Amino acid sequence: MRRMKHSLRAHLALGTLLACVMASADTGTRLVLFDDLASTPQALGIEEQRYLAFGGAILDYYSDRSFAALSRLRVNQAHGLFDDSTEYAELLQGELFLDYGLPEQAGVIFERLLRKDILARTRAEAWLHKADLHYRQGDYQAATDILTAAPIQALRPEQQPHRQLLLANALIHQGEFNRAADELATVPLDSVPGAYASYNMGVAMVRAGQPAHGLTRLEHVAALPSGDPEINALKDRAALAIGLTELRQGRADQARAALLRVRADGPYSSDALMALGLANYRRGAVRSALPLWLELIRRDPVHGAVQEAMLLAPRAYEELGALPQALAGYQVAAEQFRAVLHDLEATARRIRQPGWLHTLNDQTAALASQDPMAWLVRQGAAQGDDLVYLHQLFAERQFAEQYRQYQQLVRLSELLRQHQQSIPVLQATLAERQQRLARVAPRIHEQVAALRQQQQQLADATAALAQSIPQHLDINATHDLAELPHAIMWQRVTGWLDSTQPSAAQRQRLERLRGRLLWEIAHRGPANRERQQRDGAALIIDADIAGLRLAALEQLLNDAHVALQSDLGTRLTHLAEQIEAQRTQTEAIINELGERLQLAGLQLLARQRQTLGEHLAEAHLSIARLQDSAARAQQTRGRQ
Amino acid sequence: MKIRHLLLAMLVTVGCVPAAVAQDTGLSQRIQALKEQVLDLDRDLTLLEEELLYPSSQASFFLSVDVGTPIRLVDIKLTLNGEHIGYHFYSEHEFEALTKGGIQLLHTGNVRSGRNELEVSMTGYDPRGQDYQRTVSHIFNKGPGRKHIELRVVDDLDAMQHRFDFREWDQ
Repeated sequence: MRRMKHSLRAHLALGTLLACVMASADTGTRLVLFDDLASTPQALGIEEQRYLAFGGAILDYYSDRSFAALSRLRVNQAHGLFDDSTEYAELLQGELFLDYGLPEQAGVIFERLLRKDILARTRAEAWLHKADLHYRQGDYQAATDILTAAPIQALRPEQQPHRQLLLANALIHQGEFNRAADELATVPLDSVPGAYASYNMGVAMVRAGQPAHGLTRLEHVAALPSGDPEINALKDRAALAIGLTELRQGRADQARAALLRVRADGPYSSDALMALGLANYRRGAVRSALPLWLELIRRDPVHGAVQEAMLLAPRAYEELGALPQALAGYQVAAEQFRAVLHDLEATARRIRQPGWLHTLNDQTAALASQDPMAWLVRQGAAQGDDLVYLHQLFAERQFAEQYRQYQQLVRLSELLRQHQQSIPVLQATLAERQQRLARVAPRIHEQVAALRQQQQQLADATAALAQSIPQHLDINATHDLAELPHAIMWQRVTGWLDSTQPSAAQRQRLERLRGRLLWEIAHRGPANRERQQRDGAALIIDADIAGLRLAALEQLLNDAHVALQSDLGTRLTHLAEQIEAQRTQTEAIINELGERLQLAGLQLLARQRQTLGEHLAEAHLSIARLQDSAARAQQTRGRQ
Repeated sequence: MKIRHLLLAMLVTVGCVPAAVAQDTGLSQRIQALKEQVLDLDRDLTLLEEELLYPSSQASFFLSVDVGTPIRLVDIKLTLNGEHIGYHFYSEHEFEALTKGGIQLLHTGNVRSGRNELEVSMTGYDPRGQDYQRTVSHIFNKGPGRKHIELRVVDDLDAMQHRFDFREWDQ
């Protein structure tokens, strides 16, 4: 059930996202997906922040961390990212409120959305959520009205099956089977939601006195091709319902045919064996019924069908005239009933113990996610020895829902405990930071100011240098044009020629050297000038980066100043008090809910004890009856 | 007579699959009120944490993938200036969430200002089920304000592998 809901939700959320993307600007704020990649950093505007924040919420949502998704949306609401104008976030938040069990808050959001001038598809989705809300609250007429009204028809095609299923279920609850059947006509029956809806309708029709139509509907489900475990279990359940209905109608052969389709290793096989035996028994084939019941009595005696079989098998022996076997059968049944009664007593003692409900939790599911809204244990997923007696409770809607609430509250309590642990850490971090900042901030402030001055001078100097590099090549400015080694050599050679008195030969050699040097400088001049310009530009960038780093330091200093002045400490203390109060409240509600669940468990055990007591009495009476008749027969034979 | 009762009892057991729950007792209302309080508290604590732990010059690295990609991401390793800052292994469930439009915050923290080098290594399976590893690096400048970098894992269906695109935003 959860999975089918999840896949529908997946379509809905993705649909919402797409609808919002496609929304025109004049219908409210739209989510921008930024498909065009920019090669340089862009300004972090509100749309970019919304895109990243909503993407985070979507990740949590699809990762079965719905509480984290809801909390993230609300945090970003506080940041001013999401508001009434971001319909995509509103829709998701409304749905999450609904799942979290806060229907009023969800209703407020949907109402707000519906009052706005928004895209028809977004409006239709809001109507769909609102109908879902009415359905969950049991207001099936209101849900039907919405689901059949014109505005909701604007849903995207992939969302229509969800609408149809919801409408069909609402109609089934109102007994309007023909209309429900019309809605289901186009929903694929082999989908898990479609199969569930069809099964529910079949059972509801049988109960409403329309067995023929109900059986047809159930037959469709039972005839589905084998699929995943959920579909297979539903097929078994449908076949069993057909068998039992046919039996009630007195059509034993049809019942038998249906019951034979229930898998021998499935969860409904014991019930099917029992009913199959009854079908045979009803058509007078006691010999055919007996082996089925004998097979059944080898199974776990805690199951109701097995207990019934323990009494029916000896009765069949009786009818076949096998009185010793019948007597032995009743005696075995009495022993087994006593053993089960003993077990029931032990289970009742365990249920009364504190912490019993924790033992039912599926540890694997608990390890997978601790999110308070993550997949919680429901019928079939709970664990523990006591469940063999309590599975009936988990099949009851109210108990299952209360148990789900209980688990959610336990997780919320755990969340509060973790928050409580984090408060002292945050307080210590704050204190340590404030002390350190108070110590070093004045010194760093002075150093940053000095560095800022240096950086400014450096920036000015680099700019001036870059500007001073001439664009043209002037061989008269040899020292500017030459590379450093050549410039040094040029200076020396020129110096020697000007200041010393070389001999004619030396002068000639020096002049030749100067000539070669000049040629070299002129030859390399263009490349050297380019490099000088590049270096000048690089120096400007370096000076800018130094400025950027100084700005970052100044920002950090500003943050430090804010941190020193802030009232974070007081707010943390206030939060700690709130957490403590909420933990106390949560524990009180957990205890109260736990007591209710405990009481329901004990009441069920009491009912089972009473049934077992009746079975035991019947077994003993049958033993006495058989022994009396055997004694009478012996006496009669003695007299003869 | 007993057998008729038995049939009735079994029919009741088979019953309808629970679909909706409509209960509104005093306890339910208290639970609702408490849930709302916890939600408010969770929000307030997150805001305080952000205020305390992340100064206004933080840098955040995000990851997203192409919606509906046929390629499977297995894990990702993040290195900033030669220092390992994050690793994540994707469960099937998580990767599915990414392919449905989710964006993952890989790392948030203080990054030194100026030039930085981000290196990302990832392993994955291509549409043929063959595994591969890729490493890319990205140079960015960090200024005084917030820096957000999104790493987009894009399908390169010609090479049957992933391709990385980086997007930067400065505040």
